[in-house]
Amino acid sequence: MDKHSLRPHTGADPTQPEPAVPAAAWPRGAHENVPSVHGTGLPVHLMAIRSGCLAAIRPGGGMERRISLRALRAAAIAAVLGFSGAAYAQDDMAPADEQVLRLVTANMPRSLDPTNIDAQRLINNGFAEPLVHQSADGTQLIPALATSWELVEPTLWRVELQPDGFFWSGTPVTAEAVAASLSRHQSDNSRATSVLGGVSFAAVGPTTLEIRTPSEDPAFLYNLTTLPIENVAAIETLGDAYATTGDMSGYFRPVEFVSGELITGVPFDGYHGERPRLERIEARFVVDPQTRYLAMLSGEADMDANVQFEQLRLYLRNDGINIVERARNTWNVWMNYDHPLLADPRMREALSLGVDRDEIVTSIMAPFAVSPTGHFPAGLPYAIDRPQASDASRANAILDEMGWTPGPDGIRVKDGKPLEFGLLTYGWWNTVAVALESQWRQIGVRVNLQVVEPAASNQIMLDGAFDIATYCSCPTATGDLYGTLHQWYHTDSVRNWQSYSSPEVDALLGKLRAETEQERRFDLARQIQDIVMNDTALLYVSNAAMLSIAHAGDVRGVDPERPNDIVPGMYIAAE
Amino acid sequence: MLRYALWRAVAAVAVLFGISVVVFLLLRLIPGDPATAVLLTMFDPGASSAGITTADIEELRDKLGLSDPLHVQYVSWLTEILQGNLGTSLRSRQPILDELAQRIPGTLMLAGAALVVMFAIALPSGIIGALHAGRPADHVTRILSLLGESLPSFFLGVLLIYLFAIRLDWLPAIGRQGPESILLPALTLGSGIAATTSRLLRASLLDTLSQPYILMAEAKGLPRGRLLFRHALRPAMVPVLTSSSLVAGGLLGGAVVVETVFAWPGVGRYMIEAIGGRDYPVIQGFTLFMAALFVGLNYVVDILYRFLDPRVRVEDAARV
Repeated sequence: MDKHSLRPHTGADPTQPEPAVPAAAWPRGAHENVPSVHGTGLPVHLMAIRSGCLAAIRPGGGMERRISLRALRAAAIAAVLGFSGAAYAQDDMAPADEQVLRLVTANMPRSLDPTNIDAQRLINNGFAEPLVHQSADGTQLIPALATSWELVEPTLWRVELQPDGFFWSGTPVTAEAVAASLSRHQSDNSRATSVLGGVSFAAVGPTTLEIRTPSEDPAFLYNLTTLPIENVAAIETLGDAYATTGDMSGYFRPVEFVSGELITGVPFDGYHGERPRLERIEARFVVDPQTRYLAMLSGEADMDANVQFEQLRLYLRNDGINIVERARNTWNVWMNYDHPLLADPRMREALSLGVDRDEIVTSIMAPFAVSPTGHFPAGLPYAIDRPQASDASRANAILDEMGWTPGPDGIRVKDGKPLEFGLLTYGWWNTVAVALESQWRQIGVRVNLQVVEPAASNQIMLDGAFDIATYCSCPTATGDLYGTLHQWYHTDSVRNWQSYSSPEVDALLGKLRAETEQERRFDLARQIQDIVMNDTALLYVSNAAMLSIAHAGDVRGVDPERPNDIVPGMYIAAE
Repeated sequence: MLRYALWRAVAAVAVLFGISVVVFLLLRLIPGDPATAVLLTMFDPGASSAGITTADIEELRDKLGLSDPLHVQYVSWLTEILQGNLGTSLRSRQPILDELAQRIPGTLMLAGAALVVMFAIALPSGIIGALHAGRPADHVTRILSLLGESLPSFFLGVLLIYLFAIRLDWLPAIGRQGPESILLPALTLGSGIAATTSRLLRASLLDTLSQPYILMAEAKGLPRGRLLFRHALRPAMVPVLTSSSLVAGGLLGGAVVVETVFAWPGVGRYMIEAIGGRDYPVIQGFTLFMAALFVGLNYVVDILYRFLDPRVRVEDAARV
């Protein structure tokens, strides 16, 4: 197949009728972890087959594009539906002047300079494009500005770009421009400097880019999914105005921008791919989740990009609103190994056994959570399928063996000291933290809640000034298995808050970093998860869909592979 | 007079200096720093922290000037302030003055509209309460005042949105999208303050109405309306106006909540975001800006008092 002929994956095709498949009931089974769409006609298993050609790590060596099974299924469905869908779309779409999508979100970009810390939000809204997108389950790369890629040497990637890409200013997107943009991320983007450290970018043709990594890194391209490509040359031309105008290559271009408050966009005529069906998008910063919900109910918003638990329950009662559930996260509790009691694996095991996960999952977090099965949510190809046990009687037995005997108030005592810990928590963890406090009290462990705000929690964790903490750097689907597992469990990682250290895990992480064959990578990831599970490195509480996305009933064309994003295929259906 | 004005100016500068030191130090005492908030955020979907090391955090701290000794950081910040530069936001990398300038009109507009609402509610209810003291109308206004005072603005705001935006579909629920969009936020913000003002006015008016000169005027058959509006209400408004400085503080404080509930683009929400992200320059710049505004207003009022009230001149002359 001519790789240049392939169009980027652009989401669901509105020329096809919405399949009349009933929404799945909450909660979904543990075998499902890719996003699903609740409401009218966007079940994930059918939406997924609408995906175009995807990319994957090819077994046995280099990473290059292939036609995925999904694409074949998509082709089959398209053949069955034929061209009748086009006529359907004519009837289905509202008139052009009603093709306005009003988004309310808690994540607004503060600048149109894509090296700013929150610039990945520009990708979500379609203003900016990275080289590649990541599929919802993290196993595949989806073309964006790049049409194809290949690992030509262990540390050398060759990337072919869209031949007809343009920035908003009309400047062509060349390999040279992309190299300059990535180099600028390397130097100016605080959140990119570490993943791009030591990497070099070189244009070897008008649309051919070579990327050399300092060491073997088969998952390197996943690091580029959050980096918008910009026209660096425009910075000099636009001067200070650059931060509020930018020059990128997304399918929308901004017509109004108020930093951190509002961004309005219209289709960019020079976009290389499918023209958006929406004629206008208005993204507005609404920080309060209840206000976002009310805005959706009043009809002033068509999309809520950050639905939280409490509002999700309310949304599900409304027939006129569709919910896209994002991939689940594993909610976990951290135990500081620098605490002499928590350094003992038996104490960690007792605490883990003392957590009644069923109670948390079926009451506090119901119906949006299921019992956890390890570091990654169940159903992902690199996840293990083994629950962390909950058994209060075994917990009691372990604590008895360790010499902790129940005192008059039920709290265990040893050498005159009560068995107690501080439990650091914040905002949305509060209810779970209270449940943990109660459950641990039943095995004779007292925890004192320390409720702080999230930024303070971040710092306290970094400083190691905690005993036990409910801190949600919650693992979810990822394409960068090495990067993710390294963060949590490598001895030297700054985000290994609890100071977990295992030479075996460190060695396996080293292997994972260099492994190019996908199945072997998954296997290594599972081995690492098995070890940390046996060590009770972390205490897994639940697999929960922490945030979801709500769309008004007339919003169609949502792409389940990019559930967070506004994609060209989205449109407003006629009443 | 000049001597007094100079003395007050020196005092105002000293107050601002004190505020700048306190704000600067307090910010650094609370846990969390900007570099950590930027690199190890937990709330930005898509923001990867893979591979971030302690060295990265330290490097960013150096870059932001946060590794310098505190006095060096303070002097550097103060030097910029004295040159009229509030600095640059660590998160948006935009000049803070520009960002404030974008949002202050929204907050002032909201505060102004809330003041109108406050007087529209407080004046009639305070007058009715005083004129019908101890009777059913007074009880009703007192109960309403109590409700207004005790109902949290975030709750009232949601109720109003539900009623007027969702059930009746008369007014927008969020944002600043037209003149009508200010009604619900202003009603929410103004009604809470109106309750306090109404009770203050009732008490003050009751007191005034019992003054001998009012009783005399009433005995001589002065029409009730003329007696009330010409002779009683004006002196009764003095404590209400005196409390307006407290009201201004309440408006700005309350605006934070109301701006959040109604997604109203103003400085209150901007500050909340800055505090969450430990954006030191924004927090410092905004606090100092607001402090300068209050100190400046108080300075002007102090000087005006001396023009308007001879008793103040005499008392101050004795003190200075």
